[in-house]
Amino acid sequence: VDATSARSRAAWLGGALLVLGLLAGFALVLVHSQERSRRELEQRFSLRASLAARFVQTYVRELADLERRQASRDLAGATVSEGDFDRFVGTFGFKAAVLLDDQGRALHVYPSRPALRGVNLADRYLHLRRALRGDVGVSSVVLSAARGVPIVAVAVQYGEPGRRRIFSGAFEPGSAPIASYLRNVLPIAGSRLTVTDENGNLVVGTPGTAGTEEELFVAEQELTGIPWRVTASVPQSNLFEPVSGWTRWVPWFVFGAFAVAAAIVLLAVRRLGQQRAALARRNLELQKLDRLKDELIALVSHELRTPLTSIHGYLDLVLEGRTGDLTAEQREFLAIVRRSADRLLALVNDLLFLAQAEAGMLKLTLEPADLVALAEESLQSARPNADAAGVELELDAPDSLAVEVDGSRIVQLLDNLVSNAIKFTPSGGHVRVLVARRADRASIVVSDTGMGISAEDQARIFSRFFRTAEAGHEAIQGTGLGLTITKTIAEAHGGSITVASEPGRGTRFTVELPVGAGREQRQQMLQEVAA
Amino acid sequence: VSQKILIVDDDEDIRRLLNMRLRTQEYQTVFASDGTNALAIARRERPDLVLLDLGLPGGDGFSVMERMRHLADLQMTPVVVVSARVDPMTKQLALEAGAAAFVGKPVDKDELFAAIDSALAAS
Repeated sequence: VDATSARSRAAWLGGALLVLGLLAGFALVLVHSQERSRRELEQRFSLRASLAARFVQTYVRELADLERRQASRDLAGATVSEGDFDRFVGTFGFKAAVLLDDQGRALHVYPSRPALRGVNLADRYLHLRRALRGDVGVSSVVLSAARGVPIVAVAVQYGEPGRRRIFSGAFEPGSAPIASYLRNVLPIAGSRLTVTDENGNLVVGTPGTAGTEEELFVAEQELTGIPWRVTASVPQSNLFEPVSGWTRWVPWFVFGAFAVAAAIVLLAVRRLGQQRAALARRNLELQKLDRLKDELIALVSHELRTPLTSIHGYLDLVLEGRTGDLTAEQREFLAIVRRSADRLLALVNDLLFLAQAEAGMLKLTLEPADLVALAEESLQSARPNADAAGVELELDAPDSLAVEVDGSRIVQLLDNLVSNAIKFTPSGGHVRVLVARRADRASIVVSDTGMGISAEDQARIFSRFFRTAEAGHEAIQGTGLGLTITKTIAEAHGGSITVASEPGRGTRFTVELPVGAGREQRQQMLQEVAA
Repeated sequence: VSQKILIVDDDEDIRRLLNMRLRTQEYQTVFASDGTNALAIARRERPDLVLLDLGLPGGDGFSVMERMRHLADLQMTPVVVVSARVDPMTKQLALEAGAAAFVGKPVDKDELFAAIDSALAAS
């Protein structure tokens, strides 16, 4: 039993570990796929940020290129007049512009600032110095002196060697196509894209959820050749919305549901197993108890027989006069001892009989017999008791009735019914035994004019040790085993017993036995009864 | 010459009781109270019949009968088992082991004498 339970414990442990392992694997896959989705979203966002950077860079370079080409075509050659310069600047929509000579000195300024003419502006501005070196120069954000809005200047060099010029035009980034591009490049709600210069000043940007307390995801991209930085930011909750919010919990809900279901199933099965084991244990205990009871009954009945042998034997010797003559009173008293010993023996026999019947060890010796003769034998032995009780005893039977039965058991059955009837019938009453054949069954009816049995008790009188309350009140002797034995004998023969009674009027027991049933069939019935 | 009966029972009261019953019928009696003695006394006394209890110290009644069947001088001696173990199974086993008859305890004297008479008549 221990080995079995240890094996089943190991099986349970293994099953539980397997389920846990599967669930953990499932969870890992879910987590991994979520992580991958998040990384993908981040990468996509960063890609858009770098697209924006490239756009800004290209735009600025294109702008510079355009300026250079236009300027070299339109401003080449002779000295550009103030009017020409202004017209040129107006054509391109620059907010401000300046034309420098190859030393960086201002030739023309728009809007017109006469004080600046001849001033070396390249000394002041980095982007102009870069243009002098031949690079594209892009300025930091400067505030337009005239209008107070942030502007950015692009500076390029053009012209033949010896007649080089630097043109620098300023534009308002906010009004430029950059802004509209930036607005469209990031379709995620709450995202913000900014272009800042090397001093951290905003060049251009989209409106966003500024000042939000949410954690932001930030992607930064440096431009090449232009000291600007493109920064894209978005609240993480917005970025990860496809895999966050309530949807992000879905896999966990599924996982949790699986885990709970698995736990419930495991517990339920385990509980069932425990209940089954408990039932099996209980069953085993009951079987053991039952066996113990049978063994006890058998042992007690054997152990009681030995002293009863001495009591009976020596009592008989004394009653037979072997030890000398007895007085009438001695004889009377010893007869009482003898009757008591007989009752004790009868009880021992009854107990042993039932123990054997319940153990399936009751064997009938079926032989052809005359049921009427058996009834006469039983009545003859009961007659002294009936006479003593003042009860009339009569037999109503045909001349003979051939049956195949265990004669000694049928006599035992009859003795029980007849002695019961006599015991429970008051003086002056009568007990009638009817033996008859009905079709293929023989019936024995024992009726009396006794105290009767209540309907409630009728259902229980065949139970072991059951005695009616009346039997107790009237101090009628008995063990409560007689009818149990009677029923056992009747059923062992393939027959039945029923009772009908009316309290105060009398009782009728009817035993039905098969007459023509084959021996084999009855043996089979016997085994079923025993089982 | 009266016939000799060996009474084997571990209960002295019962040995005495059976002795009194047998004496009235003019039988000679000898006694043994356990299985080992029963065999020794049987070989010495050569009884005409053995009344044998089953629950005995020193080898129960079944082993006594078994050993008697293997001793040339005892194998023809009839055995009547007298036992308190009156269940049909024990009775059948006793008869299969070679008992001529089975008498249950408490002993009915008529049943006992009938069993003795028939066992002696058959031997």
